[in-house]
Amino acid sequence: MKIYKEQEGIDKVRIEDIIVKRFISAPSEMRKQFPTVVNSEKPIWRAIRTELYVLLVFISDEEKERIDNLIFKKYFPFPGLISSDTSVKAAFKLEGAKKIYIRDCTVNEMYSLTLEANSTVIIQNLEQTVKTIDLDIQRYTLELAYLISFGEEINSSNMYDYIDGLIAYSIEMWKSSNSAENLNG
Amino acid sequence: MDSIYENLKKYISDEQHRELECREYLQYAKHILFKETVIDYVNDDCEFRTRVGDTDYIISAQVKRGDSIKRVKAYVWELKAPQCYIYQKDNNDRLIPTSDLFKAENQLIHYYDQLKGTTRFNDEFGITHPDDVCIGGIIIGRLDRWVRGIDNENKKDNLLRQTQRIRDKYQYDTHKIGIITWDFILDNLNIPGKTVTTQKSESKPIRMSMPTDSTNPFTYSGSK
Repeated sequence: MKIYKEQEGIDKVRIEDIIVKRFISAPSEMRKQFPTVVNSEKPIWRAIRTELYVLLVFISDEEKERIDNLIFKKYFPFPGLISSDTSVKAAFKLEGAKKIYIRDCTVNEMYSLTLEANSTVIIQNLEQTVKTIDLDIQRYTLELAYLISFGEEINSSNMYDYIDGLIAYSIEMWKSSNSAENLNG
Repeated sequence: MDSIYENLKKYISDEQHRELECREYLQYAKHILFKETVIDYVNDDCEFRTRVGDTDYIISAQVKRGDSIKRVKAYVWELKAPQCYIYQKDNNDRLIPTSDLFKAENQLIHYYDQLKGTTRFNDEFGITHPDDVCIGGIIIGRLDRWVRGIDNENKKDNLLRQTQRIRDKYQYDTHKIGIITWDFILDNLNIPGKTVTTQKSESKPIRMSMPTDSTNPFTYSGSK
C-alpha cells in the first residue's frame, strides 16, 4: 500500500477562519445545540498533524492543561487514540471511510482507531483509558474532535476544505437532531 | 433505486462530460458551498444571467453579523465537468492550468465583478451590500484528472504539490479562489454517514510506551 506522508505544518489562520465562520458566527440560539466545547465565543482548540493525519480537537480548560503539559514534555497527548498499524486490536477500523461519526464511546486498554488513508471522522464524547509504561494510566475524554487521514484524495492542499466540510456536516447533524427532538416533544 | 451518492458517483466516473447532471446534486452540498453557518437559505440558482454570461451556481443565505444583526450573503461558484483536466505539463518542472481551468477562473471573476451591485441579482438573492457577494470557488475535475501529460506518478505528484502550494499562497490566500473536485462534493454530500454510538470496548490490557514527538513526529498548534 502506498504510504502518503505529508510533511508540512498547520496553518493556524485557516483553522481560526473556519472556526469563526462555522462556530462563532452561528447565532447564539443555534450554538446552544452545539457541544459545550464549541458553543462559547472563544472555543479552545488544539491541532496535531503527523505525516499520516491531522487531528483537530476542541477542549475544556482542564483538558487544555493536561494536553499542554504533555506537549511540553514532548509526549503525544492522546495515547492509544490512533494507530496506523492495522494489525493492532482497535475498537474501530477505518478504511477510507468518510463522515464517520463516533460518539458516546468508552475504550479501555486498547486503541480506539486504526486509520487507513482518506478517512474522515467526527468524534464526540470518546473516553479513552490506556496503561503506559512511562506515565502509568492515561485517561482522557475527547469531547469533540475532527480527524482526517492523508492519501490520494486528501492532502496538504485540500485538508482545510475537508476539515471545513466535516465541521459543516456535524453542524447540520446537530441541527437536524435538535429539530427531531423538538418535533417529538 | 440507486442512492444519491451512487448516482452522482456514476456521473463523475463517466467518460462523457456530465457537468449539467452533476450540478443537480449541489443541492445536497449546500452546507459546504456556503462557507459559513447559515440561519436560513434564501436562494440558490444555476444560470443566473449577467451581461457577461450565465453564472453556474450561486447560493445565498442569512447569516449572523454581530450580536443581533442578520445579513444575507451570497457565494458564487463556477463549474466545469468532472471529466475536465485541471493542470497539464508546461515543461519538465512546471504545470500550467488547462484551458478549462483558465476559462473557469476567468468566468468566475467576471461574474463576481458583474454581480456586485446588480439590482436584479440583489432582489432575487436578498443582498443588501456588495461586500456580501463572495467568491465561492471552482468545482472541476475528479481525482484522476488533476494532471494531464505526465506519466511518471512520482513526478506528477511532486509537480502537483508544488503547483498547489504556489497557487494556494498567491491565489487562494489573497483572492480566495479555491479549487475543489467533484470527488470532494461526493465525499461531503449532506446524506448520513455511519454513526457508531454508545460502545464500550475492552480488551486484554495493552501497555504501551507513551508516544513522543521523536517516536511519532507531530506538529502542533492551537488557540490561546
